[in-house]
Amino acid sequence: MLDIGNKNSQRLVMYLLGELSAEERRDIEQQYFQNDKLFQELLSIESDLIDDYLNDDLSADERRKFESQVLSTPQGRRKVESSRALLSAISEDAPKVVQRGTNEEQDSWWQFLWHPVKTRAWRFATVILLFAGGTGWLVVENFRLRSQLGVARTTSRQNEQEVLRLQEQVTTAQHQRQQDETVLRSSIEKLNEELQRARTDRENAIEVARQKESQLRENLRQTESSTAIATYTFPFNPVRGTSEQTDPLTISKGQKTVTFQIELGPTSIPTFHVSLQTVEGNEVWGNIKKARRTRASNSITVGLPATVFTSQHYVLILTPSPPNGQTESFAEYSFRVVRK
Amino acid sequence: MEGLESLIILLDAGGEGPPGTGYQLIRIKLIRYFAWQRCIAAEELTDETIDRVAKKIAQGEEIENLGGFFYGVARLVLKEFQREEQKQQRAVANLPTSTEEVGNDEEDDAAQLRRECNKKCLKDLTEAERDLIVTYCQPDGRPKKERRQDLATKLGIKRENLRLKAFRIREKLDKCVADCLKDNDRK
Repeated sequence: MLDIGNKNSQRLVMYLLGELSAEERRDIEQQYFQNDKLFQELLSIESDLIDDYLNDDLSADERRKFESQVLSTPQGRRKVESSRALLSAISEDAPKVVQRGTNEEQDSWWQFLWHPVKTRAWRFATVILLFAGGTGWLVVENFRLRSQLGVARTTSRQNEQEVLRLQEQVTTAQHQRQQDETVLRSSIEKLNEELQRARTDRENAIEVARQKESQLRENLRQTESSTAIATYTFPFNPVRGTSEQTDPLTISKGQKTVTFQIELGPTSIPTFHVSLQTVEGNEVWGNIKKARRTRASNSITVGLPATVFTSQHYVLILTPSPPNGQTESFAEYSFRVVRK
Repeated sequence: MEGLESLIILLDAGGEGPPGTGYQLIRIKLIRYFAWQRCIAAEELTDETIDRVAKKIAQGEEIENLGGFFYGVARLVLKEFQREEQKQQRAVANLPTSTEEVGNDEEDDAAQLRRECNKKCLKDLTEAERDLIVTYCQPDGRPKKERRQDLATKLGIKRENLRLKAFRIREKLDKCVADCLKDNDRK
């Protein structure tokens, strides 16, 4: 009976023996026309099938189908003849082996020896021959095994040397790794030291900066206090005449500047002459100032050194500049100065 | 001719081996295909199929799946042949005579020559190849499955791969035998 292995191979055998349906045949044919490996497998299975046929390994049904499918074409017959020639050549030249019995009755070699027809001498000669053959075989086998043992020993020595060499390599690599680790640790320590130094420097720098900032603030405070400005506002007086300010202008010891903020109300006059006079009419300070216009109001800002003032009454007079033909002042403010 | 040259180039495209390998392979496939359809004129039908495909290529037809196209044309050629065969009522090819046993005295000269060529070609194989093919093919009293499984195990391969290995050695032998027979024909 055929023994061809896996299911796919069995399907290919069925294809070769004509046992598949038309659709199954088409499927296989499409595949092997596009798949060279499958085609080669099919050819190898066909080759095995032919050998089985020639060796009488097929069942009667398989044999009949084989003859119908394969031997019905010249190509199939040529393949069978080629295989037959090869098997003949192999069996003639290859070491003789026991042929499996077919339908014929075949004597075993043991029966052949002890066939009653053979003489005792023949048997004795056969035994001697077998004994000599066995001994010879043992000698040859012994030599072969010794040779193999020698080769195995050599291989074992080589392996041992290889193991030693690899061990040395491992040791060297370990040593190298240790050295690398030492170097790395040293580098890490150095870096840590540098980091610590950098941190210390940074802290010092921060402290210095804080101190400087504190000093700066102190300086600034002192500077601010030394340039402290006394501000005095004169509100808009819609009524003509001198406007008496109720609150005095208080000038502290550290104040160096007095700023007057004069509200002008709705006016289109762009520039004014500002005159600071004593009650007696002596001008202590005078200057021309431009009115500052905002959406909400118009105003003039005047900055005077504090040294101008003493503790007394003063009058601040605004007159349009250039004069607009009117001799009257635009506004007059009377106020008292208190120096501390 | 132009179509055939283009076809040979197309068949070799992407494949390994010397130029013309693809063409030889498709030729073998076609011959086997027709033989497996029990066609006695397998080689003639193969030539017809190849000519038709070459003509299509010469006409500028673009073929994506060349293997599939060959199969389609081969089926068509086969159908035409079978119709013609039925029409002309050709006789079915004769079945062979007896299968000869080894050492039969009545073997003819051709078989003898073929056997001699096989012996010579077996000697030309490497020792490993010869051992494999002899062990593979030569019965030794054990069941074939057991013999071949042992051989596969000894070589460290699967049985399916062993079959392919044996087949490739046989292909090598077939080529050697074919050359040997040609040389003898010349003599």
